[in-house]
Amino acid sequence: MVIAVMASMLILSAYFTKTSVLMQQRKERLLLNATSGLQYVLADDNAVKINESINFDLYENQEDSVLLTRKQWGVFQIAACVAFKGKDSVAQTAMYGFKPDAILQSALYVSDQNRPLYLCGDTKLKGLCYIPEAGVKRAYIEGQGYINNKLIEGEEKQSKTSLPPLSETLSQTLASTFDKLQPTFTEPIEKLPDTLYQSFSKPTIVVQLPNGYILENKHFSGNIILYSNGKIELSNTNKLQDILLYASSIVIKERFLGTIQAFVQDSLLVEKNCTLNYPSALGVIKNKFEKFQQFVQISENSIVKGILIGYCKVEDLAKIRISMDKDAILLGQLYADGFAELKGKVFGNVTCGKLLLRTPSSTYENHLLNTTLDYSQLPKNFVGSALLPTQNIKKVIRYYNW
Amino acid sequence: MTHFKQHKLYAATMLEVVTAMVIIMIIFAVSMVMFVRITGAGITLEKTNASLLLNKSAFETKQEQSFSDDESKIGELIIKKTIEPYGANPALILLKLEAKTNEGKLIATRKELILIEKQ
Repeated sequence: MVIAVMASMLILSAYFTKTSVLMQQRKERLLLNATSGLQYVLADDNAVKINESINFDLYENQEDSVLLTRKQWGVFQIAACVAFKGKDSVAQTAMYGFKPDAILQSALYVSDQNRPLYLCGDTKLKGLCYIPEAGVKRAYIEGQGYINNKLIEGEEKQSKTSLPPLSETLSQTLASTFDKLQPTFTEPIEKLPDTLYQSFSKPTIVVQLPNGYILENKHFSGNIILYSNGKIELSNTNKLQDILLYASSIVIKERFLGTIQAFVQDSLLVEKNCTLNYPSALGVIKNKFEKFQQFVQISENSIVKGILIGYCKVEDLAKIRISMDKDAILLGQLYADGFAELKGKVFGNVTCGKLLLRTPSSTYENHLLNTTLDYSQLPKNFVGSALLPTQNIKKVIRYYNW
Repeated sequence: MTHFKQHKLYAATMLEVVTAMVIIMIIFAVSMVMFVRITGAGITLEKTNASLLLNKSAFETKQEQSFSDDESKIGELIIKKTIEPYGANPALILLKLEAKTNEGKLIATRKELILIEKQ
């Protein structure tokens, strides 16, 4: 009896050892296939169309099947690959963007509206600058004349009357998202969990928030969209990572810290001392004619690492405005199909129709006062959006193992 | 004269003992055969070793960006590396690694797609 039990245990131990080793080997192979599938999606745009999923046999041996997905995620894109065998599966996901086009590898591109660019106070322009044919001039505003010797520390080129165009397909997709969103979270908003993580290889969680909703004490990450037909407030008690927000109006409260992409149709205000880490994106999209000027405003001492975008589908005079208050910092790209009001610092590129300067006494066009635009401070490996003109060179921003 | 107490001892007969020993030996033999089969089938030390060598070779290939066909001998194994284009993008390659014995017996394989990044 004793020997029979010992023999059985020996066999069982050998069996379980073998099973665990085989399981480990299977996991390793699935991980390898998931990584390979992801490389395939990143390499070939035709492998899978945007916002679609396909089943694919990697090596045409019916043993290495993967599910490939590509989707637009705000201004960036997501590639996902799930390798599966039987009940086991391994997912690999990446958020990626594109290397900016040569024209956006400049400190400033301001369209030519037959007005010169005026510099006042301690304004610094460092890097290639595309300016109107009328040139750059010194000016005296609010008792401050231009104090530096050189007007531009870098090459100067002439801009065109229009801005480098946005990707038509992607901008249309982004603009139409406001009308297309349907909630997948259908329970009362009081039952919205405090913590939500959703992999990009799974269906998106879409939550509709009521007008005036104050989002607080939430820990959301990944494949989650929050939207509202009215206003949303984000308190600094939230921990938000890579989620999307769509609303008519969004207020990001003081000292908020996170990585989000937020798009509005009316106004987006980032209050003082906020930090939006890379890859964040804030955008205003004007879909229809409105009397007032839609805007994105970055308040004092706030830092945005990523992209600020203003897109105007309609032709009107007010267009849209992107404002950066004193001591606000943008590390990345600013594209305003309208007005850019720059009182802070931009380490990267500014592309805008017109520059706006509002002082207590007056409003000036194409004037810069005490502003720094420095392209040299932007990291060389900065990855931009396919929405803006790019070199069609994909760069992975971050990988997700979940 | 000493009187010995007569106790009756219970014991198995010789036939019963031999039968029990035979059964135990059969169980032991069968279990050993199963043990060897379970531990030997599918996974061997040689295969595990080969698999680890292929992982190391793939890691070095990517790190050194040495994307060309190659063959090397490591211990008793021959590691063969082949690079093939994959799909429409020339920057995407299929790295195929095979570990064979000196007799040409295939021990392990590894396939991976690698996107060579443009600088």
